[in-house]
Amino acid sequence: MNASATAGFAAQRALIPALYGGGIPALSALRERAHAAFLERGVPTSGEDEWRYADLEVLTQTPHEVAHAVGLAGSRERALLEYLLGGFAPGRMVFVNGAYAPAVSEPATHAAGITFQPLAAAAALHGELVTRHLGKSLAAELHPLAALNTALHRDGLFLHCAGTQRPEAPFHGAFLAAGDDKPRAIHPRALVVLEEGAAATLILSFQGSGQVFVNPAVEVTLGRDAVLNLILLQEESSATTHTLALHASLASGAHCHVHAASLGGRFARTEVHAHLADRHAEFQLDALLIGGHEQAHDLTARIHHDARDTKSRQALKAVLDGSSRGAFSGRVEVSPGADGTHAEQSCRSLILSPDAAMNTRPELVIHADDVRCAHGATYGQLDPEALFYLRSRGIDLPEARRLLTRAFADEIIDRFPLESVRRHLHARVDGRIARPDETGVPA
Amino acid sequence: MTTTSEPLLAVRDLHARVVDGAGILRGISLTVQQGEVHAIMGPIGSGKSTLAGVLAGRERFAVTAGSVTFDGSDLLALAPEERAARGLFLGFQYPVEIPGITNAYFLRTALNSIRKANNKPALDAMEFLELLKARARMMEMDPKFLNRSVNEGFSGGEKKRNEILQMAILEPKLAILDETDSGLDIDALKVVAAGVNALRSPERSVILVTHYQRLLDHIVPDFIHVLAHGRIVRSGGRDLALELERHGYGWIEAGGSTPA
Ligand SMILES: Nc1ncnc2c1ncn2[C@@H]1O[C@H](COP(=O)(O)OP(=O)(O)O)[C@@H](O)[C@H]1O
Ligand SMILES: [Mg+2]
Repeated sequence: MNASATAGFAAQRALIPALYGGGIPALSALRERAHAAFLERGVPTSGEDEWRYADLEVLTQTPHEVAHAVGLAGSRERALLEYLLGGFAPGRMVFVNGAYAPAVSEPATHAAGITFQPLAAAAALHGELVTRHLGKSLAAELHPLAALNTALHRDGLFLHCAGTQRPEAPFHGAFLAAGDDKPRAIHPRALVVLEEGAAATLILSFQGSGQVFVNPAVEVTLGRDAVLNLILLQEESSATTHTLALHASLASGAHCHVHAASLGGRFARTEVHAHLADRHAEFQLDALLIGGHEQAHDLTARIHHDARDTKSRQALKAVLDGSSRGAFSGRVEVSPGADGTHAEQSCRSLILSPDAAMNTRPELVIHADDVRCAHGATYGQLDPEALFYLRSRGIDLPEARRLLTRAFADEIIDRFPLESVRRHLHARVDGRIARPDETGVPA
Repeated sequence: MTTTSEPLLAVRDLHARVVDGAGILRGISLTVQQGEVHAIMGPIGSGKSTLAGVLAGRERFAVTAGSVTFDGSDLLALAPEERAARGLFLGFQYPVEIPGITNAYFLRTALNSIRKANNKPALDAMEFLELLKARARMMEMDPKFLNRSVNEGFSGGEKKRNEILQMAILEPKLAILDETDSGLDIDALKVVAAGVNALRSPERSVILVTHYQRLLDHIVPDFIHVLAHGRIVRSGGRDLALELERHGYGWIEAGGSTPA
């Protein structure tokens, strides 16, 4: 690692006292420990097996200062936000460079038992709840980049639903990067706790511009029979390095369904850890990767079946154009005694250009009996017969390609739970098919 | 049929081969006037689908000699979608399954693409739905097929009906129907034939490609051509089909003189 980059990371320790939680000993200690753990470990390299598809050299070559909070209040900014966010949800918190932006947020009021507020505010009001969960599942020793986030995040989204609360309306956390002309680091954070029997839908979107390192960390704890639909939308600019780590712990009967669409970024990693800790817990992942130009996507999933009769299903589709790269590394681990586990994994790739490539690495580690696991991977181009069929009916070649590519991607998009999100993704994916080199959004 | 106007389709000495393969069309000439129905018959492998594919613009066939004029323009210079826009339709011998695109959406996109190419306004969803329902009724097609993915999981007969439905929606000037009859039971054959007959008009021409003469009982052609080894070896009227039925293709391939 480059000396100035190392020094830069070390110097960021000085930021900690001024960040939220500075007055809460448990939180200050958490940040300090996480920072130390990160410094000791360093930025992961592609020489490490868990990170073999990662391209994080930029972090070790160039110091990335933590981005400053930027105010977003003008009418132009509001219009841009509406364009970016498509009005997915009535309850919305916007974070700009990791800091809460109250002027453009509308967290809405909620029934008793539902808390949807910035983490900094929640730490002050519900300190015990926050300290009990924050930084616990994404442990600093095991997750170096999440440790950096734990140490340095300015704020974040906190969603807590007490038992029996099953709000219909979705929640939305919008994380925007407002880059300048320097390399910057942004550490978006989300903490989601659904107590026994609660259910919610949450959208986390990542958009913005600049040569930024966006390093989100998301921790999810689901109590008995709790249900979470989690939508992850990554539409950052082509200069962005994005490394999201998600950890979900599921109690008995809990369901977590993650819908992830990764469209933007220079290098974008989505790392999903799910722990099915008790019987009948169920985890599903539907993911869509769209790559063009020189983009690289890395989806890494680690599913732990730690109890009997648990289920998981992962379905990934990748559409790769230009000289983009995609990678799927999916490991399912079935612990001793976790009999009756069902696990399915599929990865299908549409390779639109001879210079694009997809790597898939399914792994099953099984220490139990009576386990049903299945995985499959396919790679293909657009079917020339289907293209000719469409063209013979008067549909021109670009439109025929768009229709077939959309049909491929739609299988994943159509499983996203909200019509507004599906519409948004259809439009974004159409845009990407028409202009494969344009990632993210207009700056 | 006699006419002094330009023929709708004029194929002159057409030679084609599969890209990097041996010759399969070895000099085809064929003239189709507006309103005429021609049948092209011939044994399996004689080049019927190759001819249909070359006319529709299949890329895997390379034309090595000859010319094709369609409605006044050089057909071979046009992309498949431009041929469709000018009124050429190919009913596929093996219709393609397209998962994830509904039949209705596919057909509306196709029709509006063709309308746009001809400077006509697009049909909106309601107008299109009316048209689609009317045509589906004509083809005795269950409306549920309209919202299913194109041809996906359709039986052989349903696929062929779907081809004729597409023709009925797109209303081409020239429909080339490649073995639309194969794989159909007699009832389905009658529905398909009725669909084609309903679209017969003085403005519309049809080339029926078939291996059996059975279809010609239901759609009576004006001319019949017999293809063998990539050449038209006999042309004639309706009687030719009956002769073929009596003597088999071996008779044509052996020289085609009427046995004593
Ligand atoms: N894609 C192809 N590749 C190689 N040979 C082909 C291809 N298509 C057709 N042929 C050959 O060309 C000849 C004519 O085929 P085709 O036109 O399909 O015949 P028909 O429709 O009359 O049964 C056959 O010998 C067939 O094997
Ligand atoms: Mg054929």
